[in-house]
Amino acid sequence: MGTVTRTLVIWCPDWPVLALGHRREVPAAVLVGNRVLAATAAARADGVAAGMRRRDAQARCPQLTVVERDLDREARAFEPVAAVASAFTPWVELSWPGSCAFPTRGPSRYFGGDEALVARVRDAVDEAVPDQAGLVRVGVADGLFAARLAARAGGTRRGVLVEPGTTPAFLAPLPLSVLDRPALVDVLDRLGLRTMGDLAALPAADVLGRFGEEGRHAHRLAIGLDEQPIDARSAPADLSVSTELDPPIERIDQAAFAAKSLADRLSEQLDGAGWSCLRLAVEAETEHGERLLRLWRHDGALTPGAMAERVRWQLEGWLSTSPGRQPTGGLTRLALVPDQVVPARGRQLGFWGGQTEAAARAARAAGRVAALLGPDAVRVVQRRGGRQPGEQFALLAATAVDLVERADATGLPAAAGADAPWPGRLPPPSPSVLWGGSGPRGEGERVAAQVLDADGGGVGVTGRGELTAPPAVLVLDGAAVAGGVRGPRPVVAWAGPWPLQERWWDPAQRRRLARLQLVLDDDSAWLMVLEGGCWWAVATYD
Amino acid sequence: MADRAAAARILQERVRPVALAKERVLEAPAALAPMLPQRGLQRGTVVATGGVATSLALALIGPATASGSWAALVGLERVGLAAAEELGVSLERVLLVGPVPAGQWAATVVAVAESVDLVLVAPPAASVSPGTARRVTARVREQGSVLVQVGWPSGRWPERTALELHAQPLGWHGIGVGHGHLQGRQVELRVSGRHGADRGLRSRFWLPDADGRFAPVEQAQPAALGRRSADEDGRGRPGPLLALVREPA
Repeated sequence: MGTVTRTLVIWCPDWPVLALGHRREVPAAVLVGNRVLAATAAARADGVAAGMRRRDAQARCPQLTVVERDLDREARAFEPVAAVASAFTPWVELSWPGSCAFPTRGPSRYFGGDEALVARVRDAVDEAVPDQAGLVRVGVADGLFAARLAARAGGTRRGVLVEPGTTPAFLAPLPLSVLDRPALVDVLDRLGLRTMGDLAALPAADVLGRFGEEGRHAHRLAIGLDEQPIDARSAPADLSVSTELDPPIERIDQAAFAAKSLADRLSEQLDGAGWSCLRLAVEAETEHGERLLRLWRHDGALTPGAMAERVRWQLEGWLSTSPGRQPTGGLTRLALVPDQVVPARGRQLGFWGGQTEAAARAARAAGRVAALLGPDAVRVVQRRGGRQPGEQFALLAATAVDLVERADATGLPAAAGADAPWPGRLPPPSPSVLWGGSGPRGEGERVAAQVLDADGGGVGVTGRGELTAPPAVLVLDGAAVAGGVRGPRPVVAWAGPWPLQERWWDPAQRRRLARLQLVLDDDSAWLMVLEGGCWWAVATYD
Repeated sequence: MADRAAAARILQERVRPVALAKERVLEAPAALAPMLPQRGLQRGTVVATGGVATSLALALIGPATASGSWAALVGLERVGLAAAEELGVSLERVLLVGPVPAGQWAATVVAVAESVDLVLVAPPAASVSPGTARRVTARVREQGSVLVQVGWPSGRWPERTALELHAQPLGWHGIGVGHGHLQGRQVELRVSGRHGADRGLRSRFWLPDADGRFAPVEQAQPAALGRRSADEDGRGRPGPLLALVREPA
């Protein structure tokens, strides 16, 4: 058996709704994506339950106040509770606004046992957040997972104290749904396993063999072991990042900015070293030398965005608590320390798995289509330099490129010179349809056209880069033009010409042309090019 | 009787997929999400775009490609990639497929839809037969991809699509008679379709705006447009060339 930290959890029920200032006696509910996340006691008494749709909830309780979730406010409102906990020990760890935890070993010895500690914590929290008095629940058990459940248990006793060593017995009668893994629980249920005790009774090796990593994790929880991965370890000290804040930060918006940039730096560093972060310590120092510390835990690995969010919550919490608890000066130093790390196993991505998987699937699709239509029929994009819209990207046969390797690189692969400034480009928006296609291959396909003035004469461009007459009519000759715009069409607005001279030093490749934008009476916009005495419709803004 | 009902219920439970198809949604542009029934592109469905179709379709898939989905453009070799990038498409996750011979159209679309989340298709040369359409729709539903039809004239696709977006152009901004340049176009976007999309919602958007992006039209006109065209000399002569040179980033 591994060692399990005896943990105390402070839990505020219905936090998402109470944090927004709704009183328990008034029916109110917080929604996420049209489903009820949390509701006040009054709303629950009318039959509103978590997971219910908005319409159903309002049907049961017509006077229900419905609000969207506001995580920032939840986090700020929770700071007084976390501050109370940190008066007992600095090692307070938060996983989500509404709940915090700390190891009881030190404080419990000091205050004379777990029972005395729980009583003190309850009193202190009730005092700190009077409007939550009598609601906040406290649970103690071996391990964070069991302690969370202990805080929820006990009905009106506001949490229970599980004696050391009896955690498996405490967990045994609980339903498997406490694991919060619906898919796994569904399967276990069909196999006749209903309680945590049933799962704990199985041999660990068999559970691992049948259900893999997820099953092993659930089994560890069921037998009362901590939920931490076995390979979690404290980070090498040099992974922490810190920044001096000059001028000192006193406002929330400045804090958000500092949080983001620092979190980005940390995630870069962790990525480079091949770790992901399970628990993050946010440390701050104030002008008057106070040191603030708070730990944030995440069940999976913390992504850069999640990290920045938590740092922001924490800074906002510190800066916006009631006077008296607030730090006495602005924050002058901010440090992020990855407190517990695991070897990175790739980033957590969407439903279909990681980037690499998606790229591998795309490569399979490319292979199938290439077999069907020929290898040049599937292409991927490469950035290139150029002034004309069609020249800015090149296309490569997808079968000739390792798509999986490309997916690991960030951004679009670029040819040399692609990020040069290319003066003379037309500013955005760029045309969405290029009649000649992208890349150099489509030169010949552009659409021949005539640009005529009001009297039916051809419009040209002088040597000084000016039109000989204002354009009034556009005639498209090319048969390939879709949308039936063939024939003469009146021009209602135009701009240009913008001359362009390229490669004048190279007799073979030199180009001299002028560009013109036209808007026709049907609101279609065209990019025209005059080259070698002929007008071409190069692109449309479809 | 009660036994059979109970047995049917148990059987129903057993064959139920773990994630229902309607719960799987690809990200749509934030400004557009409130107008869509699932606030995104529902996997396994066909979406039709009309009006300013190419820009609309590109804007539609932009956020999904940015968050890791691959997109394939079938028969859209003429698409302006610079415009696609400005509209938010991550070009590193784009496959361009084509040209597609008429006889291979369905096979190509099906092959791509099996492995790529988003498939943009231009109308094929010939109209699609009801049988082919059913086959393609079924495969898309099975694979959980999204098929986006780009600018399909009515009648080319024999089935009604789950979602239809139509962007009616309302006029260009920034260009005058001989001055300025194209800086943005307002469109009125109409949403129609089945399963909650038939609310007849419509709203105004910039497609594209002055940076080439897809953006909602704020009630007040953006000041930049008025200022920019006032900068040009109003004598019907083109503005100075330098004003049009894109500054190095």
